[in-house]
Amino acid sequence: MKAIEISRVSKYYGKFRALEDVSLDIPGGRIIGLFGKNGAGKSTLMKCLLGFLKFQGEVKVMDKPLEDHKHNLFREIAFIPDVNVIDERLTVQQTIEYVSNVHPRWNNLRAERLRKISNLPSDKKVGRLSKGMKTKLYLMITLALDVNILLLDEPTIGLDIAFRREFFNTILGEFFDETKTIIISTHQVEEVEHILNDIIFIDEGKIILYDAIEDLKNRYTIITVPMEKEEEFISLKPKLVTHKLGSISGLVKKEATIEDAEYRRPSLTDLFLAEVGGYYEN
Amino acid sequence: MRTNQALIKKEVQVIGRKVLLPAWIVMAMYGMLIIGLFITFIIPTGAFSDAEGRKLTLEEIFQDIFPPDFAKHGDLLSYLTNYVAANMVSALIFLNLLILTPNILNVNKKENYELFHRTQPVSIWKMTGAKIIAMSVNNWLVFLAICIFNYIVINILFSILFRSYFSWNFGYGIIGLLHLAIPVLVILFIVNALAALLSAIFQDGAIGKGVGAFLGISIVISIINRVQGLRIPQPYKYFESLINISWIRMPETTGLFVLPGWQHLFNWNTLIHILVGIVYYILATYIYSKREIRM
Repeated sequence: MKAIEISRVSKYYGKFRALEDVSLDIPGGRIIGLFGKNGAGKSTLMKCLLGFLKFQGEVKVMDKPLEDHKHNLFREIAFIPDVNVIDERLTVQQTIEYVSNVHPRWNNLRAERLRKISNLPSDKKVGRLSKGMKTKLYLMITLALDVNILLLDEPTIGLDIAFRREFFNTILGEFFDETKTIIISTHQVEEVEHILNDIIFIDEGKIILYDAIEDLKNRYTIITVPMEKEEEFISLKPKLVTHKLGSISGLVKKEATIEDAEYRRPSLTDLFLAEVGGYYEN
Repeated sequence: MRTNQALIKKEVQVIGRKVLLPAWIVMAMYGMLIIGLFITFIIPTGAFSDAEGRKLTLEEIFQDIFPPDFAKHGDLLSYLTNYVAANMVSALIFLNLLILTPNILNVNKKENYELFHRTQPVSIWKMTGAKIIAMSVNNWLVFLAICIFNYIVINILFSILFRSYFSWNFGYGIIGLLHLAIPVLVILFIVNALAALLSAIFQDGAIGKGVGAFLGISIVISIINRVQGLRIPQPYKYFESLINISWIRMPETTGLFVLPGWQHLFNWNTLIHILVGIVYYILATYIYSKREIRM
């Protein structure tokens, strides 16, 4: 079963084109990174998937058109946006009680476990929590839901590095299983790289790459050669070219070889910069 | 059922103590009254004295205030005292509503909470309904609590004051209170549903723009009526009909006064007003559901 099917989705804000003809088939049981520069269309795409924006095209979630789900869509999908949206007039306890009572997929056991980890003050109003605490609360109440699809848009904003690591390494791992799909959009690429199965690169509202991360890394390599071999290097049409002391390096197809060159497996950041923000120096 | 309860409970928690403002005002008024009475009766100001400075008795004061045969209208006095007292409380409640209700559907949007609430698997019809019901019932309960407190204080006090003229009728007092309490609940529902509709149409400054639109329509209707010689009813007539108290007459017996009161509450007019409130709610929810959530 496909978790999400997006067919020819376009979204305009007035004359500004936020998404253009986006089509994606996202299967279940994958953790997918959605990367793009600021304003590339990541958040807009997520909001289209949630039915919050009007758009051209079609979206199916769990094999059912978006319109047919209505509010029950949120039995299947949970979303963490890139800004704090929890009602600040409620206390932590009231927020937890509210969500646990209105959401049929609330998992009490997991909620309790997450509550212990997050160490949130029950009686405090959400408005009086720090930015990091608010993020923790949102993560807690979202991950306590047994939904099939989780959309995370910069989910760790305001969190310290220790909790960010715990979130991506442990907490998210406990939530995930082969029936679930997680789409993560973040600028902290290196923090999520190790948990991702697939990546989507989006730029100026268009999907420019959607692939399994391992396949992609196996197709490319970072090659470093001495400056005297620059001509040979440039003939390989490298991306993400950088000069270092007496050497030049860049991302090339894995089959490409140059004598005496050093090879390194590209990171996700390398691939991202090569596809979206890379440049070619002559 | 669990969802409905959770929604109402959340709305009540969100409204919080702001709904109690009229109660604090009434308490302050009682406080001032006590201080006033203290000053009048304890400190000799001459307010209740005759020209020679002799303190007037209660009977003499009543003779000054009421007509000579006022005792035969004792039941009416009991009814009207409670009806008028409840009216004053309702005025406070509706004034407080002007603070609480504007942008009833837009507060979440303005404060960024909309995404949180709209990502719960709850029908938007239930969400809007819970807001209107919680706001109406919450305010009504505060109104009722103040009225009951007033009822106890006023009726005990008056039964003592008038004991030498007639036996104070507590029953007619309760009827007077109920004759206002029931329409107040209906009007609260209609006003909140109308506020929801305005805030669904206008995302910012809903009440101001709503009043502007109301005045604009009134002016246009006036011009058309004058130029064309038509009699298109003005929209204010509708609001006038909500608080129609034309059935109040000064009858000879209280029975004639009480029965029309009940008849006025349970008639087609009230039912039509409730149905119009439901139409407001349906329109408000429909318009709100078509809105994009951008942030």
